[in-house]
Amino acid sequence: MRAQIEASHLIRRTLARKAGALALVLGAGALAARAAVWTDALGRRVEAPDRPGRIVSLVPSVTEILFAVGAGDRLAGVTRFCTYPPAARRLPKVGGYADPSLEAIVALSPDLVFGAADSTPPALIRRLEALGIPVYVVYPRSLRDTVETIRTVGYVAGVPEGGRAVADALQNAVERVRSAVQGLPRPGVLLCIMVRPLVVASPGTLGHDLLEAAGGRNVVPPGTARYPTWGAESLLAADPEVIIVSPHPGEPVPERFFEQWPELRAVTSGRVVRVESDWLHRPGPRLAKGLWALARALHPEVFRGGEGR
Amino acid sequence: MRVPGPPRARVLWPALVLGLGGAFAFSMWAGALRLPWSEVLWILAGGPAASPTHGAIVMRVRLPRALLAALVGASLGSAGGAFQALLRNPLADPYILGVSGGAALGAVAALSLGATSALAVPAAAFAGAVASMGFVYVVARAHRGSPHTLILAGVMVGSFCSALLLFLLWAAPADPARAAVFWLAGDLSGADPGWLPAAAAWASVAFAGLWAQSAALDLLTQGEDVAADLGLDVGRARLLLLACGGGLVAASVALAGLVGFVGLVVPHAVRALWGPAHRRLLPASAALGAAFLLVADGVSRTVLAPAEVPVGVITALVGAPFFLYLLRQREGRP
Repeated sequence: MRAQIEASHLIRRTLARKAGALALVLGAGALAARAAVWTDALGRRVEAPDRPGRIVSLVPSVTEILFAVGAGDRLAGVTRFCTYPPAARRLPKVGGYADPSLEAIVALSPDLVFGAADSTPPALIRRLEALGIPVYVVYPRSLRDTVETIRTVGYVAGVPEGGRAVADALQNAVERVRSAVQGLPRPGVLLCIMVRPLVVASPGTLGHDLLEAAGGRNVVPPGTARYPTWGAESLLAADPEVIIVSPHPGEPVPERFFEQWPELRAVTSGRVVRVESDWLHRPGPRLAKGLWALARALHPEVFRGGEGR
Repeated sequence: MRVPGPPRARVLWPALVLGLGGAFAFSMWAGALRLPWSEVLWILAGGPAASPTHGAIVMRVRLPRALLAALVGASLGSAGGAFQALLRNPLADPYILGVSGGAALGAVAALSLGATSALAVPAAAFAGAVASMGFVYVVARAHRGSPHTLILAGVMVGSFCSALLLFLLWAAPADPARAAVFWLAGDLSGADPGWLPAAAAWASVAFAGLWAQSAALDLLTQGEDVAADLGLDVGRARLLLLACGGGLVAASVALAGLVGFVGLVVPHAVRALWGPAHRRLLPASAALGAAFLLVADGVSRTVLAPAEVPVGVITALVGAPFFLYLLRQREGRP
């Protein structure tokens, strides 16, 4: 399974580099409606219209990408977690990302549905396909995957230029930050998903890639869980120089949690920094914002001003 | 005339004291940071630590956590022993009278309503546990009904709460739901060390009340009719036992969520090793429960360090095979 996914990523990337032609246009003229055949992130064969007119997105990050690449006006439905950009809130809802309603999706008569390998139920994908509705599955687990996913979603949605532009913008932001932090000392960073309980990002996560690109060193070692739970002792033993927190529903002021540990370097030096969760953990175009925010938090002497400086 | 206890009764107290001491020592030593024994002892004895971090780890992380694990383990062990006798059911655990469902519902409701005060979730869990037990007591007419009615009423109230709980988890945004799942698997990391003295006082009073009813528990294991014939006021004894046992369970749930298995298996182990007399069984279950949870928590903090495994996973993984072994030993005896 894992090998399959990686292989398909590789194939996709190779194909994408070749003149940007990932699609194989099927037998010209033989079919009335032109259709494209894609290989999605799970290695599945997906046959979809060349320029789908009614798209349903079951993935909040894909909803964001579709708006960014210029296909937002063709979105027919989204999940109730698709809250960005604000225009997404006004679209018909088909349920949550993990439990969307088959009927609500079918009722919107989409000609393409976007799902994600880690949240869309496989049984739902099978039933949609049995009903003749193509489902394209994405699976971005790293910064590099995200850039490629943006590019691919642009192709599949029929706006390859938009996909390329947004993907390149993210890639450029990554390269600019990387070169700006080249040779600087790398502070130890703890990236917290939530604080009650303390859940942190380990290597192999999107957040980890961002903090490495921003010139930091993740204090969480690789382990069994991608997002392990930490006790207070692990926190004190690691003693990171910078702690990144995001508000979450159980704790709107996550900085408060660390005040009880004045032994921590990050607390005494005032380097517990807040960054909006969606900028770090949602694999879409806003990762660039998260990256700049991290770079400013880790290397304030270099990134004094706003983006791009 | 003294009734002689089972053959192993003489080694009971030394064994328990040793076990509890060893478990406490293990818990103080176990952790993500390798600290030498000598340093832990030195800091515990009040000596200045090599670094403020080491001092904080021993005195403000490990010590409160070990005391919490001991308190919760003792509460669950003794309450489980009392409930098994009171309900005359070997499968009874401290959560059987609707407590698990009620407490979880209270906690998750507080979480999904956006409660942010540190005291909100424990308070809501405590209220949920007490409310569900009170409800079970009233609908089962516990002062005169049979133990089976109590158990069935408890299971029904628990199921009803679970249904509401599933709905809340489904409707809640992902983060509170994730916090709730941790809480449901037992979480010794959340409690504020400042609550420990009050919780310990509360648990001591409840345990004393339970222990004072040891004779009543011995009689109740013979059946309500026999107990009544022998002069026991069954209704009054039940009310006292449920109030004291319930108080222990509700407090431990508020402190640590739903830590499974301790309250079920520890009293059985004590019964198998040292016999069924409750004057001995209740304090022995408390001591063994404390030792068991101390060890399980120590393992949960070290096995995948620096990550922490939910302690309920460890209690069941370690406890179930040990219990099966005890069962076989007992069946094998003539």
